[in-house]
Amino acid sequence: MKSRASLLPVLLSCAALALLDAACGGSEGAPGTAGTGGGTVDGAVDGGIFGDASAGSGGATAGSGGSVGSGGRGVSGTGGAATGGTTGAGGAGGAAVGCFITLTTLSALESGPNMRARMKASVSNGLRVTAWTWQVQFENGNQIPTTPFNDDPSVVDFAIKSPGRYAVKVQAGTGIECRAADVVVTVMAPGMSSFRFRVTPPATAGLDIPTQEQDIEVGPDVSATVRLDLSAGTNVQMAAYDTTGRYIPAYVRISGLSSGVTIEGHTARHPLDVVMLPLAAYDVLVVPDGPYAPNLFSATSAQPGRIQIEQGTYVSGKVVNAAGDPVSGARVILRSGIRPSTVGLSDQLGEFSLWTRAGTLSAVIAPPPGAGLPEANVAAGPAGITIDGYAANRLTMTWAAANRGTLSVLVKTTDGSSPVAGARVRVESDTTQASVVGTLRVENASPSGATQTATLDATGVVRTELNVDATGLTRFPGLPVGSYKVTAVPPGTIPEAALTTTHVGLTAAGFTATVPLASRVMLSGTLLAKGGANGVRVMAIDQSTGITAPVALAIAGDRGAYSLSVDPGSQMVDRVYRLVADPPVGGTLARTVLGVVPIRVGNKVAPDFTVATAVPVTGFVVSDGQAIGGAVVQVFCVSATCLDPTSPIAETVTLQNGSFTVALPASTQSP
Amino acid sequence: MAYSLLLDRCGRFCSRFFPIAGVFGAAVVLVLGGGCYTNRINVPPTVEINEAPIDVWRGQRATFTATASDPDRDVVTLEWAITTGACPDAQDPATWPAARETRPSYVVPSPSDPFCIWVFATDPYGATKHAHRSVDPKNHVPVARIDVELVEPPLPISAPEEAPLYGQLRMIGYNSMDEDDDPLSFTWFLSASPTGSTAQLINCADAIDDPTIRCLWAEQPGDYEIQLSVSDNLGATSMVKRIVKVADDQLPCLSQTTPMLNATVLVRDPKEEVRFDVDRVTDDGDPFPFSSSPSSLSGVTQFSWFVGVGMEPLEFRDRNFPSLTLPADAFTIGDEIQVRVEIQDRKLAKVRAILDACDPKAATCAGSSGCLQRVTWTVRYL
Repeated sequence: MKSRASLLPVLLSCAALALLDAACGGSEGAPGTAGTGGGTVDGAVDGGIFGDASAGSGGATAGSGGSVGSGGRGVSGTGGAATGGTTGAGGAGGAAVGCFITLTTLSALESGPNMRARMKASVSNGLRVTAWTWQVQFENGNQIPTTPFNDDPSVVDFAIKSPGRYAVKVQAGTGIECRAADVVVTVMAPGMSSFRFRVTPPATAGLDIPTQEQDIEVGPDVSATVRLDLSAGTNVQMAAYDTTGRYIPAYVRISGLSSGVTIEGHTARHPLDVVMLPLAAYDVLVVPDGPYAPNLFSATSAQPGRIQIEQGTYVSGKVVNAAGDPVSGARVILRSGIRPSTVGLSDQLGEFSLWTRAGTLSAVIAPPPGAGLPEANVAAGPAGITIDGYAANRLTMTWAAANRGTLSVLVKTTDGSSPVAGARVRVESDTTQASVVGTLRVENASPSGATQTATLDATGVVRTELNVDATGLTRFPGLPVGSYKVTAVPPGTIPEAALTTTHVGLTAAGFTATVPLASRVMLSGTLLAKGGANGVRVMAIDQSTGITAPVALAIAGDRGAYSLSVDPGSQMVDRVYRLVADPPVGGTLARTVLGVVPIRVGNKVAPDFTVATAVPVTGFVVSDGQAIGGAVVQVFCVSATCLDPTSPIAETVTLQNGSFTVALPASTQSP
Repeated sequence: MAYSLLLDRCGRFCSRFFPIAGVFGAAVVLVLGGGCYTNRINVPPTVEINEAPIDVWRGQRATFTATASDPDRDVVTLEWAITTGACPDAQDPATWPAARETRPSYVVPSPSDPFCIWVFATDPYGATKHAHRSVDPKNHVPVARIDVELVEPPLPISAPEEAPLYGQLRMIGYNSMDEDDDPLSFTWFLSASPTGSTAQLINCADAIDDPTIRCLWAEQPGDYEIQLSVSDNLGATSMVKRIVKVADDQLPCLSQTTPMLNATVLVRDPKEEVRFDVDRVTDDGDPFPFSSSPSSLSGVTQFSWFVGVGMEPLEFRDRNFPSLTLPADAFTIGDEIQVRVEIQDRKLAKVRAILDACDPKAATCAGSSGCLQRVTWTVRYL
């Protein structure tokens, strides 16, 4: 067993990468100077982290020509460091980042003489990338060469001959500044499994110990003892204030750059009480109530919790249909990575306004429900929406003309005999390819009188949802003609009815679809397990987007046989379920993600799945030499082949002496 | 002066007889007639075993002392011996123990059976007197004691003198005492239990062969009276009763969730799925997750999830899982979604009454204990 401590993630990243200049004590950026206009980096507008514009003590990437003050200080530019995970995002820290790179591991991460890892990079906001720059470094400092896979420079292979940590950094040439992804992947020795232990101490008064994670490798069929030593944190009271010092209620989210730990809350009544690890870096997203643009920046526990928020940049606009008629009730949002703007809601004249931060942004324009219009998306990037902090910015969304018709949907009982009141109907374009649905005109009128304009394509799909009336009928007027997927959600009064999906073609003449609700179907199978799987809970979790079926549950009987009542797919589209086996606590079997099973219509027999044998792993949770009782210990799979790295495969509560035992899956099965 | 001279002449013998007026004349005759006659008559010493210790206890060290004197003022040597059983008629020297120890006092380190203690006082001229005493060591009655530990769940409760319902109680008798260090036997008895209880004292799983420990599953609230009788090998017995108060059923409490309990407002991107997890429910009988050694009376917490769009009433979604996921692309920007979780333990009606009494629009619902049975998050899609 080997412990890979990620409890001090910044230190670890520093050691492995020496990439985190700011966080690792690298040189601080020079104070920003008053800009002369034209700055594109909205992070500089707020004058740095926690409003410390005058200090100007950092911010490696304040951006040229920044409008006011300096960039963030200290830790800007740090990336995420997901260890051995399937996905490592480039994080969102720093005050001047236009896009984010995500890294995905496509292969198993098990070392061997001929073993190679494969990783894929992708960039947020749909930006076009002209060049990728990869760098891989083993923990001993050796550089590892990378090879593009299949001539695709966004996907590379590299040798993983030895177990250990491999630091992977990738940069993208997009024409705007993207934060480099910065990920440490853990390559295991053959036969080892890696698990992430997350420990949340009890909310005992005065116990300033934040939730922390630690990666542990466990060999096959070997009992292990782990010691989880928690670091004490620093309590920070976070709250937002405007430039006059007035308290602004706000949603605040603090995300650890190197872990899945997130602290969030709303400061309506009092500041957000946050316990932060002293050496860790965090992203902080602040979404104030009222007319203030949200902000995103990096922070450590060293900074005070007083967050100064400038109002941002005002943007006005109008939403019209193809005939030029105003569309009221549309919602408009601009976005830079995970940082949104406020929501602009169009009035009777189609006029809207919102607050955002300057930069190159993406946009989403959501039509009012029942309007029949598709949701419109405009990507960021060089051809994205430029918002100038000093210009009068105006957006005009115009939906494209289309032949339209009315789709009527009549929902009936499973035998088709009578209409069903209380059902809900969702209509979606029957394609995954977004098409051009309109244009967004961007106007930036500078104080000098010059106006820059750009007209951008907006793409999207129709996705709308309405309830049926008392006669089981609902109508979607003005839908563009085409193919649609229609899903009827039965009311709770008909428990035997299932989510029912059908596909229809809409013409300008309109179409009425009669949808008898489908009955649930049986998904059955057999669990194999050493000693038998009798009594094991089996759960089927719907993987669909949009609308998902409730979790189906069954108890395996003799010889591991189970039968789950699930919602079917359609004649054309599978409904895909993830099956999870959850054995009784204290037994010889471990919670196991069995696999995914697609189902269309009719009953289905799933392939035989094996429930992993449990390896008891005992451990202790301590902090500063003191046992921590009552702490929640959750264990996640972090192997590259994990079917579900987000759901705990084991969880327990420590006894008063800090001890715990969890049953982890034996062998190299991926839970 | 003349008397002093007489003493000087006749030494000790004369002085010894000096007080005896009746024989004074004879003494004078002897002295005057025979000069200083030194072959005196030796008088044997006297000896008694002191009364203490009055009680001699089995297994307990007993120290015997004696008071001896010699009429001749000779130095007296004490010798000690013990023989088993009661003291014989000691007139016959043949019954006297031959093996003796010379010492001023005598220690019996760990008496158990009746014995006879002897002491012999001998002066330098061989004159001996003895004393003896029959001693029957007394037996201590063992002292029974019951200690109670809570095995599961490791749950602190509001009343520290009470044990939580559905927990396993461990009755410990091994702190019972016998001062004689006799081997003890233990007899356990559940002499009273709450109405409706079928609880029994059972062997503890980790101490099946240990008669000093018994376990009890507290499946009903109320008083459980446990008796323990402890006997030594001489039949001395003591009994103790211990009443264990088992608390009423506690409300299940949402202790930890993701997102956090107090994060009532969340901001999310509609293109991302939003997952809600109950990480911990604190409860006496239905905790989640279980600690490492769940109780055999442990039940299953029920999680009920509800989702509401905007101001619409919340709709029931799921009950089977401690988590709920709002899928990606289910909602759009500007939507506000309410996600609610309610928990229930096996006392459905009790929790239901609390939930029904709460304001349905309130984000949280808590019973009188202040712990939460309901939490509602508002998801703002931006």
